[in-house]
Amino acid sequence: MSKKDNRVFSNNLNLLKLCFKASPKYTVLSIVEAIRNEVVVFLEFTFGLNYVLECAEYGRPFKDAAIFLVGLLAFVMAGLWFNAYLYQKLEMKAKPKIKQALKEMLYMKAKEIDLECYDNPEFYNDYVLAVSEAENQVDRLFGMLSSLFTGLTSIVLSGAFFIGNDPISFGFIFVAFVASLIVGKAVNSLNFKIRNEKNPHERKLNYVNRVFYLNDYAKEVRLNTEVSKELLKDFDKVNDDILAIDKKNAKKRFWLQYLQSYICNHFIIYVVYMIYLVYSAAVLHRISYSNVAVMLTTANRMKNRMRQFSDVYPKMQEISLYVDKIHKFLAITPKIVSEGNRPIPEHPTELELRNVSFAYNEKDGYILKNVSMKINPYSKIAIVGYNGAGKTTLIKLIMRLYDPNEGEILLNGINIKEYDVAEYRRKIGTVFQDFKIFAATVKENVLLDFEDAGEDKKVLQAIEKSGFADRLHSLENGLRANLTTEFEDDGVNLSGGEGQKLAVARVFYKDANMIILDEPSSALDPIAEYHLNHSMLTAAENKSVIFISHRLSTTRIADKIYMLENGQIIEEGSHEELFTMAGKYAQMWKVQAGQYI
Amino acid sequence: MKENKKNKKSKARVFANNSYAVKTVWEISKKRVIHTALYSIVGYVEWIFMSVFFLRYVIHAIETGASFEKALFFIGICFVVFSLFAMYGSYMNSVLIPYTNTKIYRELYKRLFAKARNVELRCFEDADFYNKYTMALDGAADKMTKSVTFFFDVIFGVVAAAVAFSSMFFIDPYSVLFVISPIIGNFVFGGLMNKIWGGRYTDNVKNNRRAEYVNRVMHLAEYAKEIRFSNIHDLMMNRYNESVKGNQAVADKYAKKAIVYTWAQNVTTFALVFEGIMIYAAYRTIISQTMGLAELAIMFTAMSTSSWILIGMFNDITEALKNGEFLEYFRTFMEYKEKISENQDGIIPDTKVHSIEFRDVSFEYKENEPVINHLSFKIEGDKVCALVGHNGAGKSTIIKLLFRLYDPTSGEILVNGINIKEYNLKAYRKLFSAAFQDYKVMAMSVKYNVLMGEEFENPEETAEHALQCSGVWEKIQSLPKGMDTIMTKEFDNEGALLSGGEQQKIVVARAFAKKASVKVFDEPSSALDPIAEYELYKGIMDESKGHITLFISHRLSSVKDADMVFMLENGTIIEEGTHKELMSKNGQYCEMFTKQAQNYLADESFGKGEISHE
Repeated sequence: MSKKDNRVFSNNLNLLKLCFKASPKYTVLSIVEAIRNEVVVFLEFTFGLNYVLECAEYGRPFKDAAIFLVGLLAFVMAGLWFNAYLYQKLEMKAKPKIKQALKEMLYMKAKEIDLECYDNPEFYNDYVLAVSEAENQVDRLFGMLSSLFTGLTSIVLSGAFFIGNDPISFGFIFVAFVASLIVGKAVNSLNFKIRNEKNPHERKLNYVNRVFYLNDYAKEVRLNTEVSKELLKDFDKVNDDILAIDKKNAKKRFWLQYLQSYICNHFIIYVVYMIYLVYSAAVLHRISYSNVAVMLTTANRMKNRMRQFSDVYPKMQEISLYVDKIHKFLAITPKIVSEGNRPIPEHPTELELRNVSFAYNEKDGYILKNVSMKINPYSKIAIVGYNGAGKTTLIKLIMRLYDPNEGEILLNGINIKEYDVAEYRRKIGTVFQDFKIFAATVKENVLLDFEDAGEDKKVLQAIEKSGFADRLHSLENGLRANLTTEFEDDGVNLSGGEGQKLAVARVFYKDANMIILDEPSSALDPIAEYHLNHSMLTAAENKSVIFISHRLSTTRIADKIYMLENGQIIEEGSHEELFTMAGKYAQMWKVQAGQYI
Repeated sequence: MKENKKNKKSKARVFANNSYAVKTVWEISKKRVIHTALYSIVGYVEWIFMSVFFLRYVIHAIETGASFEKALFFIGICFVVFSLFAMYGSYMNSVLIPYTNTKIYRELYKRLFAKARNVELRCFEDADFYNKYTMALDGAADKMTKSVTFFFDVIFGVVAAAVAFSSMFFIDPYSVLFVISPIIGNFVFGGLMNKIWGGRYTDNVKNNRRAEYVNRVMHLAEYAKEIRFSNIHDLMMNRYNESVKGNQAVADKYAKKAIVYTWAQNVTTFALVFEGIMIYAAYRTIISQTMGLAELAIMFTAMSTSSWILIGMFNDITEALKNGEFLEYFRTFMEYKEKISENQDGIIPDTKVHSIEFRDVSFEYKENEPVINHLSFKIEGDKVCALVGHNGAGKSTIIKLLFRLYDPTSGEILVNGINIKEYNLKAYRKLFSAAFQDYKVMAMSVKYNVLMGEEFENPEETAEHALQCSGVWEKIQSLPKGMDTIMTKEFDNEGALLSGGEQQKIVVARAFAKKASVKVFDEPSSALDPIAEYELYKGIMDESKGHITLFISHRLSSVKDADMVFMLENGTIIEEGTHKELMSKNGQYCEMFTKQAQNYLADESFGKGEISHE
């Protein structure tokens, strides 16, 4: 056995072990059911039919046949009860549990890995695939197990039957099996080739579909009446291309299909084997003619089961492929780990960036170059700059979502790597630019934790400060109101501005030393922004604050402003200092403020 | 009783829907329908022949001592016939089906697209309607053709079952009675089981939605940061756990009944029939000796074939019922009567817009929740007008009403003094160009994204100029293929991935490029930095000659130079005039402007803790 095969088996075995651990009863009984079912089929169609025919042919008393058949009926009925119990109860309960066991493993890992992994599309696609396919793999595994044991049982039982009756029959079955295996392989590889050829075209079709059915494009399509013409032209062309691929392969496909469906199946069993049977019965008188029917159906069934059995290994390979992906994902070691376990200072302390450089991907160049800054405790720092200057990346480094390629970040004079990551982050309150409202209650959304993790009073205070209070009062269930319509049809959907206020409440609630805000007021109208800025400052009196904003009116109140350009700090100082410097900041300020004066 | 009636009605509807599918496919490809029918017949003929007549003839031949040659001759003929059948099947599967699939797909989706473009925007925003529509789109061609297959399989299945039964009848009239058992099994217990499946599905909808949501939170990049900064991960795991528990509870709820029905269904369709007929046949052969061995063997296979045909038919009907639901959505969508048809004909408007007037316009998305409230205003001449106001004041809705993406609930909108409903809609919309807040770029070239398929005398220059106006020309020039660069990596690995701000600028360029009499900019700077924003508004002002300009902005500084400012609140205009006029009025606009400006002015008291909540 090659190393590759070994891996296939061990991967399948591992998944099976996981299933067994989550639900041993279901795992074992589903195998029992596969065997039971095949035994019944054999007892009815081969052994039973043969027995009754023999009773008739050799004139045995009817009682014998009747007792046998009634016994068989009782056995089948009992078996069907087992079948119903297995599929209507046990499976219904076991499958969600097994899938949960698998997914929990993946989810726990997802929490642990570095954010960097999400930036790598290749990795990310693999992960998404592993997660989305995890459930299907469990179903596949049980399907595979069923085929395996059905096939084995059939081969053993039918095999015994033919050895007892007519071993030559084996030859026919074997030839049919091998032939269909070979042709089947050719068919599969042709289909695979066609699928691959069609793939890029189908992607394009899906795109056109999307443009027409997504709400996002609906307005554009209506207002720009000509735009759909081009899309439809593309649509036509792609369809022609797909048709051309089918036409090109039609002939080969036709003959392969004919070989597969007729010659390898029907022809060998119903023509060649049948002639052999008739010859054996009518000319050689080697087998009784009532036996002909039994042997024909048994041979046909055995051939089909062998075919099914031969599919087991490819199925295992397929499962193994996904298990590999899951393994690969689980094997990721996060780079951002706590290198020490120093206690986080209770109160805000100095944060320093020393010659920090960073690139998401060295190939694409550095986003931050040699950045140094010192943030005094309790100070209010603003970071400003053009789109793409590296502002958001900078705060991601401070949050330790990434580690710098060069240079270091120090908290209280100690490299932030020396602190426990989770503890370090717990002391930072933040609102991301792309903040998310979760499908949970208002309170849970503020806590980002279970309801009992915090007091209502404190949550209400935070909500009051963030300006969400008015909206809260309009909610029937107050803090317990369910947000989003994901779970509850009567859940509340917040507008962008309202959502942002709620997200800001999270920061007010959190007992953090430092608050980091990335464009917190972008979705707000002017008055709401004004209120938010005010309350932000009061709430942050005894905290350090770093904020990014395009609106210089927001940033001017900072103790110190850093102006970024192309990943470097080009100017720093208070608003007044920068203003008198008459550099880029002053220019930007004038552009914005000039219009108000 | 009532439910029964409803049930009957819905069954009739399902049948109607399936015939609708056959009709639709027939319109597109007659060949496909005819061959599907033929293929179904061939399939059943082969099945019944092989399991009933073939074996019967051969065994009979041996039993009665006919010559081996005769049997061989018969097998030979069968070989020729079925070989031809198989060739036909192969032709069907590798030539006819793939070819017609593409044809059907193309035609069907073109119809869907045309319809999607023709229904009013409201349908897209109505979650219920939209869900049904996306369901109609999802695999429509596949489901349509499947419907045709089910249709014929059920029809010919009935015939095939009749043939199989009658062949049994000729062997033994009483044996046909055994058919009652699988019929009861499938239709009574099978029907009951279907109800249980339906109940389980409905009860689990919520649980599954939960699990799917948690799954999304766990793997989408946009949630990853939040997970690292909070305990939300555990909360979500807890939700997932609840959903699994919910699944288990549903399983328990139906377990008893489901086990009994499934068991009864299987016993009546399989066990009673097979074992029953064997006992009966054994009795006839051994005791009353009224049946030959060949007949006994045949009867057994014929019986099992009949049962399988019945099972197959039952499954087909179940599938057809499921498919019928999809067809219902498809049909509802296709037969939906547009309230604002995109193809609506009418007066061809003058290409020059002299005036726009809203006359006591009210509008509501949902009943009794008015978004626009008795709104009246008039714009005359090529002016620059700004709409300002709080979030949710109804600014974007006014734009949608003006474009006739919606019709007002009451009141009327006049362009050049004529109600806009009177105009030919396509021609009317050509009067406008727009940059929407929720900008979307298409996976096509930059140039195409700007020109959007419109005809221009000098397309290159027009696009270049427009990109310059929106401030992204330099960036586009720096791309290897310039304006011919394909946007997004969707199809082209060399496609350009531009930042949000750059994408927005490209979308805004559309409005600059299109020769329109009214240009609308809905928050065109939401993703831009201050300098870019400033330049963009400068561009809008510079280009404002010769047409009406309408823009929406939060940032009041950009509004100052507008000829006319409309301040909105709760869906109606509360103040209007020039910036100067409004400032001297000392009203809401003035307050809003002052608050924004405050920070830019040298107000020393600000930010030193003197905070009040008005």
